Amino acid sequence: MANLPLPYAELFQLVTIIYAVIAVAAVLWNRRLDKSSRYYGFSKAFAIFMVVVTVFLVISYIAQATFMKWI
Amino acid sequence: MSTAGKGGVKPGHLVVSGIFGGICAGAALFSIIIVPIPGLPGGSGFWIPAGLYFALTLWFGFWGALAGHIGTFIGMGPFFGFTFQVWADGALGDFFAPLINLAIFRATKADPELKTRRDLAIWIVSVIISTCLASMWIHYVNYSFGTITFDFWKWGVIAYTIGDSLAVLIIGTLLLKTATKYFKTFPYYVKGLFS
Repeated sequence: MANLPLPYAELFQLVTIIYAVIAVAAVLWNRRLDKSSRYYGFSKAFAIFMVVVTVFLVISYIAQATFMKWI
Repeated sequence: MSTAGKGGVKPGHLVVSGIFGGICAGAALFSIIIVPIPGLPGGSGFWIPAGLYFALTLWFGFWGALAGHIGTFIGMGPFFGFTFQVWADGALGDFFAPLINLAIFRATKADPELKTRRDLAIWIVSVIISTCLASMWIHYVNYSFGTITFDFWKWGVIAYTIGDSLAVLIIGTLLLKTATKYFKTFPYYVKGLFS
């Protein structure tokens, strides 16, 4: 695993946190919008997308950490 | 909410590719649960980003597939220690697969919301067909470059088809069923290939 700016596990944690922050921001953005807003549909879909990506990043982290004995 | 109509290609479509390509890159770098098979580079595992770019392609057509290609090219490329040929080939396969799936969807007039049993059946069959064709292509290129033997070609196709199909059918189905109706209201939702 060459060329990474941080050790793989630490970079994985950092990226997961960034994705989680984006997911939370997307959810909050959607909650602030009125249903008649032209961005409502996109913000809702984007929030769902980011939540799903983040959840599967966490699952992947747990799986890899278990296999590689990080935890 | 109103559904977006079909218009021409707009700069926003490229922005969509860029944004979701970036998201896919992070996922491509980390979110794979690898099932290592000695002698078979990058050919097996639960490839989570596949679920993302299959759904993106049904929402954004070519631009969604491009997002997946950008993501996998950047994400899995320089970091896993594969040769350029292996990861460029893999990223190209990840570009073809969702487009084949999209072609089947357009030909059968299936709805990505997967509300009916017909749509769901088309989704399941098209995912397996497109993933299998992409895996045959990817492993044929690897075989042509001498990276794998023909015996590994067979196992590569089987392992890749199972791993990717499972990821797409689990994550992609979840995304399509929950987010499609909202993305349909987005001006850059694609009803054809490009717009």
